[in-house]
This record gives sequence, C-alpha cells and structure tokens, in this order.
Amino acid sequence: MTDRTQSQKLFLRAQKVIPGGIYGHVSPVAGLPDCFPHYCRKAKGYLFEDVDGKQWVDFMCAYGAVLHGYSNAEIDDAVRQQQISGSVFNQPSEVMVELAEELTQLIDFANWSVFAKNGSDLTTWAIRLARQHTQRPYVIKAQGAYHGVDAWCDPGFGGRIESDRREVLEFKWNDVTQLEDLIRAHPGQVACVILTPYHHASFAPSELPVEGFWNQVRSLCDEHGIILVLDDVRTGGRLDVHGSHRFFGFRPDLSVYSKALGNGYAISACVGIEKLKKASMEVFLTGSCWNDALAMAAALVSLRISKRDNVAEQVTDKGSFFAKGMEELGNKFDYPLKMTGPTSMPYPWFDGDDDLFLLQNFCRLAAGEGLFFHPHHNWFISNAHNEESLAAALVRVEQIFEKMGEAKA
Amino acid sequence: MTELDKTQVKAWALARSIFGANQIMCEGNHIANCFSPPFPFNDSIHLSSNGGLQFSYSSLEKLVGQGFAFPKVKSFFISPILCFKSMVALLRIKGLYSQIHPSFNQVRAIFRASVEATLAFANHYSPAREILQGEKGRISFMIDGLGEILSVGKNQNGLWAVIESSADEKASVILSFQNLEYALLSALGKTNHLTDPVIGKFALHGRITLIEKFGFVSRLALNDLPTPKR
Repeated sequence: MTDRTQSQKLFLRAQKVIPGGIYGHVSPVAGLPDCFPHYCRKAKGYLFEDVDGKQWVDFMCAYGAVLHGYSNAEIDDAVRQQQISGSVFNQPSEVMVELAEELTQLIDFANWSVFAKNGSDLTTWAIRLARQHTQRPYVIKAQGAYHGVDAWCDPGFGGRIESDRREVLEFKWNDVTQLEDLIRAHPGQVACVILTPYHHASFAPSELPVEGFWNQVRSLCDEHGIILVLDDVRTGGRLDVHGSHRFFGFRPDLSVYSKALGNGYAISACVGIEKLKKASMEVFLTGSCWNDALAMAAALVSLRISKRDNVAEQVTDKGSFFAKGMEELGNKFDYPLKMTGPTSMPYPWFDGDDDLFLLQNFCRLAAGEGLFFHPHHNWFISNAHNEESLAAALVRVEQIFEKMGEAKA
Repeated sequence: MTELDKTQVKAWALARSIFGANQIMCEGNHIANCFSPPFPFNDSIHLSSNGGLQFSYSSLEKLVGQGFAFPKVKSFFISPILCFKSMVALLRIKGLYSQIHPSFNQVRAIFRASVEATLAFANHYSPAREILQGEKGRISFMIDGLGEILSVGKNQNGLWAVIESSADEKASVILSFQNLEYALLSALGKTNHLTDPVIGKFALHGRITLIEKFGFVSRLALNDLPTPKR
C-alpha cells in the first residue's frame, strides 16, 4: 500500500475549514478515495508528484486543463514576462486584443471574441446571448451532457428551484428526430441548441456523432432561426486547432473554449459570428479578474504552440497508439475493452461492465503502478507524452491485466 | 404513482419507518409485524391496515421525535388488541434507539427505518422522484465482516423498495460501512458523505451515480423528519 500520510493529514485539516474537504469534480469521492492522492505537490510534462512524494504518470491533464504538458517552459516564460508588467489592472492590457485577433483568425466562423475564467462563465453567457438575439426562452441540450456549474445545467441536485430548468429541454444524443420533435413542439420558442462536439458524459462510454448528425442539427437550427452553440470547453484544441467543429465538418454560431486554452492558466473564451455581435453587447459580461493578462499571455502562446506543432494531430496519434495498445492487452487477457471517444481523450469501457466494477478495479490496480487512470471521467493524452512514455505505461497495464487474470483464476 | 405533498410524505415516511423497524425486529422473534400502514390515506394515518393505532400527522411526528404521542381515541374502540400489540411494538422500537451498543440486528432495524423513510420520499415526493428518474438496479448496504444490512431496488410495481438480494444478480452498487457504529450513525443521518469515504468510514463500489442520487434523497428525507431521541 502506498504511503498517503501527507495526503490524509492535509485532508483532515481541510475538512475542518472547507466543506467536504475537497469539492467538485476533484472531490476524492468522485474518484477512488482509497488510493488516489488528494493533493498534488508539483507536475512537469506528463508526470506529477503527490504530497507524499509519489510520482504518477498522468492521463488526466488536470481534467483537460493541460494540453502541452504541465509547466510548459514556453508558456511559463511568456507568463513570467507578462508578470513583470503585472496581471490585473484598471484597464485590459494589449494582450487581450492580441488574443482576440489570434482567435478570430484561427477559428473560421469567428468575427469576435470575449473572455472569462471558466467554461461555465461563457456557456451560460452564450445561452443568454442566444436568448437576447432571438428573444426566445428555450434552450435545448443533450441528456447527460455537462455544460458547467450553473443552475440550468449542473449535474448536482442541491440549491435548485423548479424554474431553473423550466426552459431547458433535452434530447438523446444523436437522435435528431427527437431534437426535431422538441423544436416543433415549441414553435418559435427555442433560442439555442447547445452541444458538445461529441458526447462525453461521465460514467458512460463516449459517443461520437453519427454520420450526418451535425449537418442535420445545423439545418434544423437554420430552418427554425435557432442559434447553434458549441461547448468546446473540454474538447477544444484536442481534435483540431481551429476548433472541434472543423474536425466534424460543421459551423456553429458560437463556440466556447476553456480547459486547454490557457494550458493550466484560468481562461475561457467565447467566439461568435458577426450576426451575434450586436446582441453580445447587450448581455452584461464581467468578472473581478477576467482581464487577467497572465492567463491571456499563456493562452496566446498555447494557441501558437498548438498551431506550430500540430498538437491536435499529435495527441490524436499518440492517443491512437495508446488506445490500440490498451485494447490489444484487454483482448489478450480476455477483458474485451473499447477505448471510446476520440483517441486524444478516450474513455475505456469494458464489455458488460455497465456498473463499472471492473473499470474501478482496473484503475485501482493502475494506481498501485503509478498510473493515474480515472474510472468515471474520460482520460486525456498530454502532448508531453511520447511513444516511450506511453509504451512504458502499456507495460504496466499488461501487469495489471495479469493481476486481474490471476485474481479471476 | 401517487404524489404526496410535503406534509403527507413526511407522515407516510414516518409510518413506513415504524413498519420497517418492526419488520426486522419481528424477523428475530418469529412474530407477525403488526404494522402495515395502508396507502392511500386521508388526514390521519393508520399504522396497520386492519384498524389499530391511528395518528394525526402532527401526532405521528411527535411520536417519533419525542417518543410519545396520543393516537386517535377511536383506535382503541375499533381494535383494542391490535392497539395494545402495536403499543408494545412501539415501545420496543423506542428501546432500539436507546441502546448504547446495539447488535447487528438492532442496527439493521434502525437502518431499515431510515431507508423506509427515504423510499417514501423516493416514491411519492416529486423533487425526490425526479432525481431518481430513469435509475434502475440494486443498492446493497453492507457492514465489513458482518454482511448485508439490506438491499434497495425497484419492486414489481416500479416502486423503490427494500428487496431481497439474489445470488444470481449482482448489486449495481455496494456501500460497505467500516463497522456497526458507523452504519448506525449513517442511519441516524450523522455522517458526512463527502469526507467519510476518504477517511475509510465507508467504501463505494459500482454505479456511484445511483448511490449519489439515493444519498441525496435520503438527506432530503432525514433533514425533514424528526430523529428519535437516543
């Protein structure tokens, strides 16, 4: 058993002064509280070290917030450079304009850009913008899709009132007929459809869009004057540097990015079409530190690295190598396994393991081998990984399957 | 599925709790459970389907929270023997909560009482029902080294209920308490669902989403209901 003394000590201190000790998606109860570390000391590249000094090979990338690896030197240099001048001022800094220019050049449909700190800030703002533009109340989303922590969409149960979701309708991902039925049942009332590029619900296999899905959604939105909002918060930068819509071949009206955008520096962006610019100026948007020049400097360099190094293609290729290895090992040891979703952010799914007992056991054993695999959330392949690091991880995965096989026998 | 308002669901949850606790106590003593509250009900609630003690909603809350309340007087004229048996049973249930070191079976009875209250909310109170909508499968509550306390799942009528666990069908999610004392605290709603698994008080395996939802409904119910004095 790994020493987790410091982790536990910190947690005991934390629970006295922080509700739940650690909350949200990084709460220990959301993962494997008996074997995951609760606190991290430092991280570099594809490795991180917990507060007990154990080193882990990372496959979660701060739940997607890191794309180029932890403590990327180029990005950190840019941040340090900006830090000499300062971070938050009375006015925004030049880097904000540069970042908006970079994004509007990079993203084909984008004519303008705004910034905040987290995905939720701007998914919520985007639906308000759609409501302002259309003067309609309803929002349509996919069942089980995550769009943030606000009352209209959060996955929790507390602190809600009935009216929070009165104008939020849901359809089953990939079921365009159901979507069309919802739109027709609320004629002239739907402001927007908000969707992720593919369906990455927690605790479930990821689902890619079926052939024609996005074109049909686009057509329905056009036909009914509905704004199409792409929540590219988790996926952005991991499928196509120009936005995930390019990967799947469609055009949204608004896209929201965060996570990988700042490679660990808190920033989110919403970009939109010209037609929505006027309405965007009517929907109030601000936050205490939303003009943070450090995060903007980080995002600017992060985007340039992504473009220069074809990072989306690289993480996809690295992910394909890893996913193929995982699936082959699963089959070899008679644990049929499918790495669902795009290979740059896969979620493993064992045949017949709907309640996740097998995956939890697999991840628990992986933790013993120093591999940080999460049983309930999709994984992320960092571009700091290389074939050697992934091959070495696969060697450990083989040992895990061996142990599982022995236990079964 | 019959919808109840908050006052009604609280009364129903308390009546079902009494039934549940007594069900476990009767198991050990090989006697029939004298409680079987009939559903639906009106402005008061019978604890037994064939007469027996009848309480107003507020009296029932007082009975559970303070340990004593007057039933409707007419109860005694209709079925005096059943009323007497019921009063004895109620005293035995009250005694459960005053045990300093309860046995496994006594903890099972208290746990069952708490679960029955949760199930009443899960089945008849729309904010709770919506949370569990679309869920299926079986939750198994265990104590390390002692075995299963009980299992919860949907019955043939589509209602959430205490169900028999079957060797053929694996539970969807297993919640294992570290020991008897902790299981008791859980039944009394005196645990922390976020921190306790981290310090080893209980462990979860399987479909976490199901137990998360059930746990939320349980807290919703227990926050609204009186807890018997210990």
